[in-house]
Amino acid sequence: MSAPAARSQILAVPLDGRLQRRLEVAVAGARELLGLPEEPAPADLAQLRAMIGALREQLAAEQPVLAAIEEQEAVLERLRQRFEARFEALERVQAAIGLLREVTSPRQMLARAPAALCAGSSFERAIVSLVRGGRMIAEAVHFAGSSPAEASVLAQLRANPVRLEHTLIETELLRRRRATIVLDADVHPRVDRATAQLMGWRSYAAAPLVVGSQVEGVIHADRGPGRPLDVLDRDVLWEFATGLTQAYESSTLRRTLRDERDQMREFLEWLRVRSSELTDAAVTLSAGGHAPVAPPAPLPESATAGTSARDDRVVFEGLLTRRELDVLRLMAEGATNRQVADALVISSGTVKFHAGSILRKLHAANRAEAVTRYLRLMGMRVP
Amino acid sequence: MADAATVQRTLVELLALEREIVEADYVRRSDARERVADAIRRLGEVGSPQGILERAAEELGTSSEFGRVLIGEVRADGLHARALWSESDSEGAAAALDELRPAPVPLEYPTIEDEVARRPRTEIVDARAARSRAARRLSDVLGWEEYVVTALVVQGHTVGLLHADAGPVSGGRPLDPLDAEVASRYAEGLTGVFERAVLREMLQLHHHELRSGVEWMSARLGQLAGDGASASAPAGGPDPDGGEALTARELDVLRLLARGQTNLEIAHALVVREGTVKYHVKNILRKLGATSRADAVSRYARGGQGMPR
Repeated sequence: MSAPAARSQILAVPLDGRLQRRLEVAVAGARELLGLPEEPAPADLAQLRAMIGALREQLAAEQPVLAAIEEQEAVLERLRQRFEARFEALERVQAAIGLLREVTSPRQMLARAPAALCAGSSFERAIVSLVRGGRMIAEAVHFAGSSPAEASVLAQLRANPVRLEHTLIETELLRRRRATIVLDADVHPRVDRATAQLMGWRSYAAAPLVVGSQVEGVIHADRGPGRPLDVLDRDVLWEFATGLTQAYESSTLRRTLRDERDQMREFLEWLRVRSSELTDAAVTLSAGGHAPVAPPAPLPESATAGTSARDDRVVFEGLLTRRELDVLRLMAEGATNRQVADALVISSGTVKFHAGSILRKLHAANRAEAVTRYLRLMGMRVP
Repeated sequence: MADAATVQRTLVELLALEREIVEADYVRRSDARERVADAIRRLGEVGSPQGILERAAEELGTSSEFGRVLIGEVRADGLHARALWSESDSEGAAAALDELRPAPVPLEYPTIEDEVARRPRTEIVDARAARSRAARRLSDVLGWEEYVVTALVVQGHTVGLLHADAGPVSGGRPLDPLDAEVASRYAEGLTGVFERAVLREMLQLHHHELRSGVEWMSARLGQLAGDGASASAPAGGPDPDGGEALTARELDVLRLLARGQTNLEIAHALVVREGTVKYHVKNILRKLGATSRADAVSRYARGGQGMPR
């Protein structure tokens, strides 16, 4: 990982012209007031702070400081701390992603994601769930300090997959592809009751895991039962979710390529050996009557799925919206409306609506023709 | 000595100004972050690795306060310029790129470029300084006075360098830590997007070549069947799960169906009754294991690469 030059050097950057001029005037005025000689170098923030300190000293020596000034100083300090905290939190979570990127197996990456998140943020509990067939199924759980409750919570979550009803908050964030925080999970009507009770949720953050156009899962995080979260937590989780899905996609692609190579090798080796056997076999009286031998079985599809080619975005650019393309791609894979709806976490009605637009835009009479157009434009041979 | 009231008033003003400065700085930093994130997202939508490289310089330029951006590939023999963008002088940029392209810029000790490539990081370089370690040929051609250089790293290996400066105005805006942060963050996002695009392309290529292989084998099998005399191979649809092949008539129907024709239209075209078409469609779906007409087209196309027509 490349370390940036000076990331936390906040306020080391030059100001825009207007602010810089005001700063110079203000510092010059203060110097005069304090009876200090003029400074030839252009004023900067450090000088402004020095002037504030000097004026403050003089005032303190003479009379009790006005409440207004103290208040102003306190506000400034809080502001500065909040800004610093924000950039630091975002940096930390980036570093956590960097470590996760070194995990080569996609499955391992997801399994370790909750722990990595907690290590790189102020979250104390995290859950990674996968979305399959319109349901959210917990995949990995981490509690700070790896409490023994982890395993039993994971088992309970797994035993009760959450159906992604359209009223659920998670459904909406998968659809809109953004993170959210819930502040009143214990009473919120759009939070899954069973999960909220199991986790003792009052306040939690959630973000979608979207790989390409495919919804892969959801990540939930909180700071333990009853402890509130704020907007920064949401942004940190979003940063993490984005980085995680990117790393996950890379490792899935690498894994798929490797799997394909291995399978090909296996098949070719089988073909080589078998061809030799058949070619070099001596003709004897017991020869003949051999049954054909089947090649090695390919890996199950799930091992290599999830990495559809995405050149179609270029092919259909300007013609279809990204959502329409998502729908068409799934249609071309033979998905029914229901399956398309589940995969994209939208309603069947919306799928039908998109399908209508697709037919209109592609000038297709029906879905069969739309799929033909798609396959042909993607360079596939069509009947 | 000034009176207390004036001191108080001045203090209040200075504190207010400091607050404004702190806020302006925050806005500038957050804004820079967001613009880089947006730029990376747009790059991700490009798709092809070549397209990403071509757009990479411009995308950073238009999303930041940089005036010029150079993307170069690091190879064993040096730095090969790939894309150069200039806000104010696109012709000059094109000319400079042409000049840089024929030969790589050597990456050798003790240039900063060499160091950044070896130990990935981000540096602000002042090429005007008396003992500047800026790569000579690069500064000669580009004429940049002060620039940021950062490494493009894929899986621990430096694959390229990103250079950026404030613009061609001599003695213009000096570069600051935020510029370094923007360049470094962008470089990280760019390599991620690029890596995924390359992997996707490899996968596609692999599929494509595999398909050619299958077609070769299929053609070979056709010849073998021909040598064997007897009956020619059936007109042949794919049989992905060891299912039956499509008959010639069913293929006719499938072809029309793929063009979006209705049962009635197909019936007219093939001069058969609509009931017969329905019968054929039913068999096609069964043989291909398809759930719908669209699915049948899709399954045929995916499974039937090696088939004639």
